[in-house]
Amino acid sequence: MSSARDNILRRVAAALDGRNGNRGTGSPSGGHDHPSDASPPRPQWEGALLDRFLDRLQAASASWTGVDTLDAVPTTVVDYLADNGLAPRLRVAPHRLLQNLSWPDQLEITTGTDPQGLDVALSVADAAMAETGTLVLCSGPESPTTLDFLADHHLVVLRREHILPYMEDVWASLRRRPDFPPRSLNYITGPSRTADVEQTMQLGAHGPRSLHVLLIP
Amino acid sequence: MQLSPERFRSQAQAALRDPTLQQALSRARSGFIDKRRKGIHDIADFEALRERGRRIRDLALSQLDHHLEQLESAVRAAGGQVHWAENDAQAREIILGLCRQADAQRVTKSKSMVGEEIAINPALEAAGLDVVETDLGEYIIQLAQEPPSHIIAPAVHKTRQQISELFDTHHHQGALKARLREIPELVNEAREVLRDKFLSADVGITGANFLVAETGSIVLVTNEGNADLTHTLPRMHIAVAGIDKVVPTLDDATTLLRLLGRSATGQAMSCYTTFVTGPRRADDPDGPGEFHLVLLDNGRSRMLAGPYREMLRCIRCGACMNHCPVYSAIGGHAYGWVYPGPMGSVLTPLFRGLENTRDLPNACTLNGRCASVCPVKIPLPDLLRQLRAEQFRRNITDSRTRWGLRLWGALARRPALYALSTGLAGRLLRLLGGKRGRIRRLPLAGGWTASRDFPAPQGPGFRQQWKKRQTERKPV
Ligand code: SF4
Repeated sequence: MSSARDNILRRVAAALDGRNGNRGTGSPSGGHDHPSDASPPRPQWEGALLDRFLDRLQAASASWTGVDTLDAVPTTVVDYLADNGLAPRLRVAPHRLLQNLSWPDQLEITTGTDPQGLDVALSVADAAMAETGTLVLCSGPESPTTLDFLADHHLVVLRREHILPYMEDVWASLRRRPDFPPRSLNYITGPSRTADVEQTMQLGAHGPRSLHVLLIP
Repeated sequence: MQLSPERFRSQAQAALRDPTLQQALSRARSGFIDKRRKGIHDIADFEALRERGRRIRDLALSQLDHHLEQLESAVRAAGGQVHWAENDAQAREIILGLCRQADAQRVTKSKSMVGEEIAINPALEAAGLDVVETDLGEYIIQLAQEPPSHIIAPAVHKTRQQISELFDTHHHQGALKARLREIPELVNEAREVLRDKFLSADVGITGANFLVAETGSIVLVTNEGNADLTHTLPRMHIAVAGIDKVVPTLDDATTLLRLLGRSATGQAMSCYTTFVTGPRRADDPDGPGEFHLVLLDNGRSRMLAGPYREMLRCIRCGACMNHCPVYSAIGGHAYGWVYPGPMGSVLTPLFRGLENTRDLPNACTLNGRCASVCPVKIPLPDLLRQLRAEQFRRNITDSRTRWGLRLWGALARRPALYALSTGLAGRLLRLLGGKRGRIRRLPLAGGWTASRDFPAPQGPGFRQQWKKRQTERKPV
């Protein structure tokens, strides 16, 4: 008995070979006649990459703070929590960038992926794209995906130099990593939202209600 | 009520007479169109982007077998498993088997049109599983026990009052006496109820917006983040997708994503676009232990061989229905099956058989708006016309229409007879129109004149005018 797999592939092959000239000539990895040869139509902008990124980030209802040095991240977080009336409790991703920060005593720091007490999470972006104001986070030992979606409020540390113009640039940069592709590669553009009740946009559907970027040099 | 594409006529009539539905539809109508129009602004040459999208999909389909095999080995290399289903029954069997293997009790689902196509929910429920839809719109219609009426906004036909009532019944046992509630309150309540389900699910089922052959990734696009909680938290992730969804490279997926968001909701990028590749890695702190991809044919390879191949380019954005005057008058349920609007009027006959879906290819004015907005340039009106011709050839067209077409054909091929009969008909209509020049009730077309007057023809007919023009133009 032939398997479903073989039957399907046989039918597909017959369909393609049966109609003369209907099998494409483009190689899947580029090559001639493939659409990725020429540069794709995509948004253009004038001005700096950073300005475009921040403009799009805010258009997506996210916010940001510039932080002078990595060491200043803890005080910025404390201020953010206070300004937004949030309890002084923070879940920190096990990222190497965040390991040696000195957190003030009044802040309760937790780690791990336990959904209990996951009000505010702090993670690190692997890249960002100016095209749409999007953060890129790859799952891995330093970056649990759970934090990015279960937290009520999501804080993300982003290095300025990691901002790239387009998604194509993100691919080119991530492909160089030995562990690419990660299990879950998340493009995040603003906080969670839904328009399922009367086509009216409402933030905070299932994921974070707010998204805040801490921009470091 | 059991909906069926065979009962399109009566379902459409019922929809037109349903004031609540009409209220919901009128709210949605302009919203979708405005959002897309604003959304495509930031790309100077959107037409070139559409053309590129069309070429990417065509090329992917033209080497589909190759891409499917490449996809399969990439998924396996990432530690996932690939299952092949020739039809809906096989797909249900595979998914049910996997759920049993995982010893599952609760299954969370992220909105999937293929999931609807194979009717996975009733199958899992019949096996005693607790199935929870997690997209808010899909959750609402699951509570209402209705099918989706739109491919990206499944509860577009529900008003806030109706949603308040559903939540009252299911979350408060009627204690709120169905009072009308505000949107933030409703969204928050659903968030809380569904959060518990996410955390206690054993299996998460998602669809896939695209499959990427080079990396073995599935692409999930949402605004709510429900797909990510669905694939990250449970022990097992099952993704189910049609074999048509494959694209060769990540860059190809990128181009299609630029088209998808803008065409669907006017967003340059949806909130969450995720590329999932295989199960949790050895040193990952979270993610499912198993990843399964179920690839569904269900008639797609047949479409690939025939004259409707172009339909397989569809990326399920919903723009065609958002711009369709018929859809926006009757909503999605009237179409009677999973896929509504213009794309559904082509797909449903191809999936379910032309003889069971007689009215669908005819429920179209051939105005062409759908084709002009389709991000992958599917010539929907041409495909519908082709289906009509096939209906006629295969004797499926109803006898009244057949006789009408025959009669017209006979007249059109005999110019003298044509001139005589159209001249007579014109005079008769003028007579019926009287001084006002409008006809209140037209015999044999009572449906048309029920909601508007028929204007009686004015002045001489086209042929007469043409003749006159030709003589006047003659060189002296
Ligand atoms: S037919 Fe075109 S417009 Fe309609 S859903 Fe498919 S891709 Fe979108």
